[in-house]
Amino acid sequence: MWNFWRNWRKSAAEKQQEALNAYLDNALSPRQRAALEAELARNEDLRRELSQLQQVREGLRQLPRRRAPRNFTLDPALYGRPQRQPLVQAYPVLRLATGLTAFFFVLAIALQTLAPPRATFFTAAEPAALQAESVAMDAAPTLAAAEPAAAMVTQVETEIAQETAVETMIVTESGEDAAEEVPAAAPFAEMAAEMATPTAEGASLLAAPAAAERQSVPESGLAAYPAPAAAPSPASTPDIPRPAQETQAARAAETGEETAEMTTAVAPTPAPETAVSTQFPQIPWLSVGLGILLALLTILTLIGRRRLV
Amino acid sequence: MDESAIIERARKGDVQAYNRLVIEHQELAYNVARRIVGNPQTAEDVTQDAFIAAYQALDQFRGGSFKAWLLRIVTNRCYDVLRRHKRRPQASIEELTEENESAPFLRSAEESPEQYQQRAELAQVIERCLQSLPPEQRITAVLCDVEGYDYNDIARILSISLGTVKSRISRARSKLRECLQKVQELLPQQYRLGVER
Repeated sequence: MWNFWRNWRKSAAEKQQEALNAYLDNALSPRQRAALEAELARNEDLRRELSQLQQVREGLRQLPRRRAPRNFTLDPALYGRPQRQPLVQAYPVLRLATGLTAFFFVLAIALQTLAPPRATFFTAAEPAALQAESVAMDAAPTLAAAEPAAAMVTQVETEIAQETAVETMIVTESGEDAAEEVPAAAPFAEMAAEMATPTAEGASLLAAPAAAERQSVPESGLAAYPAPAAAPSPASTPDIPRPAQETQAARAAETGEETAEMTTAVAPTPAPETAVSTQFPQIPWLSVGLGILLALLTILTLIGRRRLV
Repeated sequence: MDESAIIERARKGDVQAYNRLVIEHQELAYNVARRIVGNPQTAEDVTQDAFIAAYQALDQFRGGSFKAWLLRIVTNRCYDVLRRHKRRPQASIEELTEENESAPFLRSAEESPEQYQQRAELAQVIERCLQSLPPEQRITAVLCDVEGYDYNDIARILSISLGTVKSRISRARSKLRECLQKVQELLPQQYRLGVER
């Protein structure tokens, strides 16, 4: 294959030169030899060229042979039995293994590059969900964690405003009735259910409103809600009714505390999940493993090759 | 004792047996190294290194021609040296003078002193031209034209294809021819290219 490519690239002059030299060294097939001799009979320039090449060859053959300046024998006291070299013995196997690993490594990288981005995000969300509970426990008011919290703040404020409007009803009615009267609780319950099973859709659903509401919530509002995030579930609605004399701030503070408790008890929150998936890119374990294996095999192969004589 | 038996004994640690192989092949190895690296001292080092490497790697010898295997080690060592130096070895003036004075040729009885001198000059010019070749072409030319190996042997020694051998020899001779044509005036009349002898 390689020889064919090289021959294909050679000019006619190069091919003729090679044929002349091979003719001198008696390395042509009978058919090639006959063809060249016919050409030589016709072409005087070719004969002259052949004659010059012959002179060069004879000049090289007449170069004097030199005597070895000394004996190159080994001292038996210095050299013992030749040691076995396992890496050298295994060199052909190592070379094959390195080639195969390189192939699969490139394949893995190619598949990873060509894979749809959704699958990438999904796999990223899984380890994030495992860490969600512990991160929620910390309840650190970082910017990333504050995004879903901001959504919660706005939502709770909306609820409180509605509660103020129907204050008399809140005092008299039960918790179940209150849940029915607060229409905003319904979509949050749905979202909370999604958050309990962390998926890419759940994460993206939460990330979008959080980004939209970020600017509408002042930092002081974030400080009033130390919990990073928690979606209020329908179970929390019985606790919402309060006496009318309580201020909005006090209600909000209490709601925040309750939300923090629920976060640890009910479901992992999407807030750290989203943060983790954006901070730490997906680790392609297969590619990393193959890459490490390839590096090791390459080193061993190079050592073995170096020890080849 | 045949060569394979000697090699088997050497494999078991018999250095004296190996030394018999060394004595048998040292002149060939030194001459090849000398032509390739172009420097007597370096050629000596390369030859010694090659014999040591060959002894330590006797386990890698899979049979066949020990001479071809040894020459492969020698040429590989020469490649290493040339790569390390990253320059084409050039024979110094002192070396050339020394060679002339040390009379490397054996003078035949029927050869006159003038003829001997002319042949020595030709050899000197050819060696210079040989050193101007790229290493891979020089090695191939040395093995083919100086040492007289055929294409198949060279392909085996250098672990290259037959086509590559042909190509390298052709290019090497073409360059040598060009080099010799440039220094025609230095050559005796009968050694000039294109002059029928």
